[in-house]
Amino acid sequence: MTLASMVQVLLSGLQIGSIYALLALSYYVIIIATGILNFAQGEWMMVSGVLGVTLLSVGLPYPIAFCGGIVGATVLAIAAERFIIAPLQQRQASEAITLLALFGVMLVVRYGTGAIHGRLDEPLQGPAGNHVFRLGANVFVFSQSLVIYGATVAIFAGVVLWMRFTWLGSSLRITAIDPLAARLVGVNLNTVRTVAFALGGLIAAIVAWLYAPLFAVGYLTGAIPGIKGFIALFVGGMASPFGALVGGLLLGVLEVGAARYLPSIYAEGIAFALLMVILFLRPNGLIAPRRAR
Amino acid sequence: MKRATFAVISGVAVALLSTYPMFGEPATGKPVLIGAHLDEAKQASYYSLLQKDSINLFVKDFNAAGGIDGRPVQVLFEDDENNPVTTVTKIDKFASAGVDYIVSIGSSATGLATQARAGELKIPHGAPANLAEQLTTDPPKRYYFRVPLRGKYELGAVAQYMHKKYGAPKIAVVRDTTQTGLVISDQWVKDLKNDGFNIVALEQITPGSTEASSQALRVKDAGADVVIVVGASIPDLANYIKAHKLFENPAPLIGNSLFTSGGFLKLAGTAAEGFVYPDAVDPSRPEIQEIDAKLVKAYGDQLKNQAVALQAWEYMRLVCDAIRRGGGDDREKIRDAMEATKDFPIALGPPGMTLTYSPANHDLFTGPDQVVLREVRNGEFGPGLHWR
Repeated sequence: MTLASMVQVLLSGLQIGSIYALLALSYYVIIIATGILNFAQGEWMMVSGVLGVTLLSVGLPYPIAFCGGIVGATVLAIAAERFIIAPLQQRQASEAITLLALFGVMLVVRYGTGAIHGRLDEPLQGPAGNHVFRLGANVFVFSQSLVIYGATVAIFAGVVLWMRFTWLGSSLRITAIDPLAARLVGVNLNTVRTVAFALGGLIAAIVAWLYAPLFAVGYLTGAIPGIKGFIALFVGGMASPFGALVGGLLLGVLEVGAARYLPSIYAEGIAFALLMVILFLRPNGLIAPRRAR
Repeated sequence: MKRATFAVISGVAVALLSTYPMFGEPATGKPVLIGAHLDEAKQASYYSLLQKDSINLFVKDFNAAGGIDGRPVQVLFEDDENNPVTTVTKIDKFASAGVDYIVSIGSSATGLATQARAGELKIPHGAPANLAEQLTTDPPKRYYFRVPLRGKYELGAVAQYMHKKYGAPKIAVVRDTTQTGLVISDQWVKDLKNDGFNIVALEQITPGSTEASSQALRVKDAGADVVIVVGASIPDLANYIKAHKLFENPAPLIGNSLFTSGGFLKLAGTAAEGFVYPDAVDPSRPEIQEIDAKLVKAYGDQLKNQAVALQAWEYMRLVCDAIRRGGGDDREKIRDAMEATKDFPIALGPPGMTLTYSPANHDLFTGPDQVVLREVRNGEFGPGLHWR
């Protein structure tokens, strides 16, 4: 276990952990405001990437493809809320029905994209290109990794500041604490729900441009990061956005570390076993709500 | 005026009809029905759909050239949803429709379901690209015939190649977590050990990860002389290959036949150079180049050099020939004709290969010597290597 090896594990772990953390954040903003666990978050990420690849393939400039992918996926997330979730909520559908509907959205978007776009995985050019920086014989970092680290810091900071210093953000926080009280003080819960879905969709859509350049874009691209983001949120806890950050980074570093220092065929199992121990010791996640402490 | 218009239209119609035979004698009459089940949207769909495109183009060409003794071939496609249970219901549907033959272009798992059900219904059937070793039994299933590589010959060819080129190398095996990756790698590790190879590492790529530095460093630390990369999740395996090259590991990389997916070269980029893998197709064969040109003309580059599409084409040619030899419509006679196939010129395998089935053999490939090994060169899947 050399220093170089530990540095590489840390760099790699933070890289994939940041992706998990951002997806966890996208779940977080929806779940605190609405109580809804939106299974389709990974799919908004996938749609953003697929749209981007498609726009690039027809010769559009990178900034337009980038914006087009993100806007398209965010609009789809809002549409899912407006046309599926909102009507269900108005009819006071149970949580199970809402979850089932979102599960349906996830499948339709995933396999619909496969049917329209095709099933082959394709590369997506990263905003910073494909450069590799060597920090030693066995240590490297991609230019895209630096984009991931920077974007993670910026997005988390942006969401925290937005929730603290804007009226809409404050509405989200108040709704998370007590929806009835929020309504009494004039918060429109329908608007909050739409904003939460839009913000969650936007974050997931941005993640596509961080993740896919180091993996691929295809109709199944959102499946695994979507699950890992969800796990990261529950490990980190839902008391604040920092829970998503801590959970994501921890999951990433544990995964990469286990694959480096233990036989990698067991790495994922060991990483998840450790996470289960953490949840056993802290059932509300690492960053637990104050009243639960 | 109306009469004049009618006369002009009639004249044009007659002229068009009279010139049509110039394009060939198209098949007419009662169609010969063939059922094909495939995965339309799930994990096996990327190779299912390549085969579907190839079959559609083959049938169009074949019917335009006269079909089976003047009868057109019609293929009924059904989505098996990559689910063996659904597949069985689709086989029953084909049986009710009166198909003469069933072609499996989905996953091996659904191919196995077809083998069981179509065998019970006594409908001849088979697959152009299903690799699973379990599909071949000893003696072979009476109604099942196939042309793809078999796992054990694929590995046999790789083992011969490694012995010849590297003597007794220390081997690392890297796999993904797909069912295909796990099953193939377990089999390869077992067979390589039985063959006397020293397996110094078995590593697994974390699914969906952005890179595979941990696995690449473990393989480097293990001092493997050759690294075998197996599985079906091309993005995961491409990430390993990139990390392997980034850490300047000199050990050559050898894969399984599923790397022929077009996406591999794009995803692995320059790291794919020198990558060796077994294949059922040698692109240097003129027959392959001719089929490939037709597929590319019809569907564009996404069908270029796709082994499964070429296999589907050749399998359909074989099936149609057997139906013709069997007189059409009598499933038992078609089965017998298929089994009696002897020295059928086929564009798969190395140059000059022919296909001969017998009661004891329903496979095209009968040994590792027939397997083509190819290498990625200059960003493309290269021609067959001459190493034997």
